[in-house]
Amino acid sequence: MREARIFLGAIVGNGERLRSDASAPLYADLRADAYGHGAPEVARALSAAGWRHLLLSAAADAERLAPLMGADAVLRFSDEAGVLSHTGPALYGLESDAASLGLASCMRVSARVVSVKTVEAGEGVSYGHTYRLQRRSALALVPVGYSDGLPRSAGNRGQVMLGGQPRPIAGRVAMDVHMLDLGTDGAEVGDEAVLFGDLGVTAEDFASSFDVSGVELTTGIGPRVARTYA
Amino acid sequence: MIDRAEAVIDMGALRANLRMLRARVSPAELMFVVKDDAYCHGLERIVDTAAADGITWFGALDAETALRVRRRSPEARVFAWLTDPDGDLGDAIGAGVEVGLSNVRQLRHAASAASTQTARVHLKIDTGLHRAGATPEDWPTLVREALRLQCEGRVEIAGAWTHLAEASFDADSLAISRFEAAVAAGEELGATFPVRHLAASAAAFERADSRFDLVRVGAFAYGIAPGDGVTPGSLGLVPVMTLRSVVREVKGDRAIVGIGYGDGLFRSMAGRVTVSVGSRRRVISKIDVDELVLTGCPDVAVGDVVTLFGDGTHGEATLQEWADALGTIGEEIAVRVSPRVPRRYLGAMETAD
Repeated sequence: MREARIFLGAIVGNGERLRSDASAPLYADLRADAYGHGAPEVARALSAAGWRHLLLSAAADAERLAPLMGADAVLRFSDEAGVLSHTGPALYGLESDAASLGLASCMRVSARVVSVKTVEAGEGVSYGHTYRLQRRSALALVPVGYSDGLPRSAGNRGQVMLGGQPRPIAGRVAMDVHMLDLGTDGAEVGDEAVLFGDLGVTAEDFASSFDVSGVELTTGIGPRVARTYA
Repeated sequence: MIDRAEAVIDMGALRANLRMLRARVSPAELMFVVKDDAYCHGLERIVDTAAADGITWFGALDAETALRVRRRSPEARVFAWLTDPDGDLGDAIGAGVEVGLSNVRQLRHAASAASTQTARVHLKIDTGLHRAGATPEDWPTLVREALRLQCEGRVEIAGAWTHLAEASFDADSLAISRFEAAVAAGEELGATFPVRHLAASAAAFERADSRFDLVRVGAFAYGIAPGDGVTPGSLGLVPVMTLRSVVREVKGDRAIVGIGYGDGLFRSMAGRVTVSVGSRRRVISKIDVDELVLTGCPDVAVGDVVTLFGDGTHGEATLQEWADALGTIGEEIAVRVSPRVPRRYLGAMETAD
């Protein structure tokens, strides 16, 4: 019903671009569960691509990852981040001037429409009725809410791709769902709504429309959003 | 000793909130909403404590959570209302989980999962929130199909329900009258609705006319107040979660604290909310992935405990204070607290996990 697809090849590719300029050992930044991308899977992919140096949040992460990385892995922790050369979130195409560095997005978040219905012009949508329909409109219920890491600030500000077009998030984001205003268009139950990471919309693009950074967005994507790896 | 950060969950506060709320909404019953890992307080422990304290209804949101509740509380009634349109409901319905649904497609999906156990369903009417719920035009069709499936023995109509938009007192009053009209229309078609439910925390607390047979309470049970200056204390609620961290390093008058946006904070909290070190409030000046920075505190030492929010009894901020300062609601801050932050339980029963 909710999916975060992680592109491990893109992470490895970003790493290659970042590493090529480095003289000192460059640490791959896997803090905060690889900023929501899943530290074990990222570590495995990087290890296969020859990485040995990892920056982690805490010792507990090291126990989880050391079998994956082999005996020659060099693990350092967040309190040393200031003195190490490391990729930072640029490894995931985040935070840096990613486009000019040629870094790719590595997470695509989507969900399946649960229901669609038509509501009359003038009606309010979601809590507080902060959004009013300009015309008779179809509304799609998408099962991603602030509990899944879609910030409440996205309400009435963010746009989600559905049916190949950006659709406004209508009214407040609720804990478990948000509504999209489809206007005179329709949608079917099961259609895929794409929040970011595809169709030219990066995490940074999506997040900046409601004053959050891309790295906070990916890091905050909750455990109900199933990670799949490509 | 706090390693990096911890969320302290006070079961005494939870019990006190639930008891006060149950007394207040009586004779209506209280469904305790434990979706999203009990608002990130930890589902299993929370359900154990609430069930032992007499809670007989749990709101779970989805089938998976409902089954987790069922394993802890075999006797309770468990309600799920956001299910995967193509997911398998067989296990949930077989375990007696009751399903909230809004249209014929969902109704048939639930009925198809019935076996020896009929699917107990709660039919939802849209009274103005315009999320889920049947429109008034579609409501008779939904009721008729439920009656037909009930005759076949595949479905049992267990209730009728809706959810308020909380746009204004008058808008909610209109929603209540629309709900009553929908129930009456359904009864005219031959249905009976043993359990009618409409209100969540705020309406359940404020309005006797919203309570019907059952109210669904999440936020208030966790001591999370609605905000806009309304404190938990003014409602007789005690915040259940306290979020704490520790000073990891001191550099001049800067203190580095071991919690960051990787733990669920927003960077935009810097400069806008305070944390407590000892008896003093400090403004956060910067938030990074694993740490935040406090400035102007030369008297702070490594190892000092930093309380981000709590119940306010030691001078610290409450979630409501943070939420008001950030223009959001306490629930958003609570449910962002990352799974990597260990939960520590005060006053919990000894249970096997």
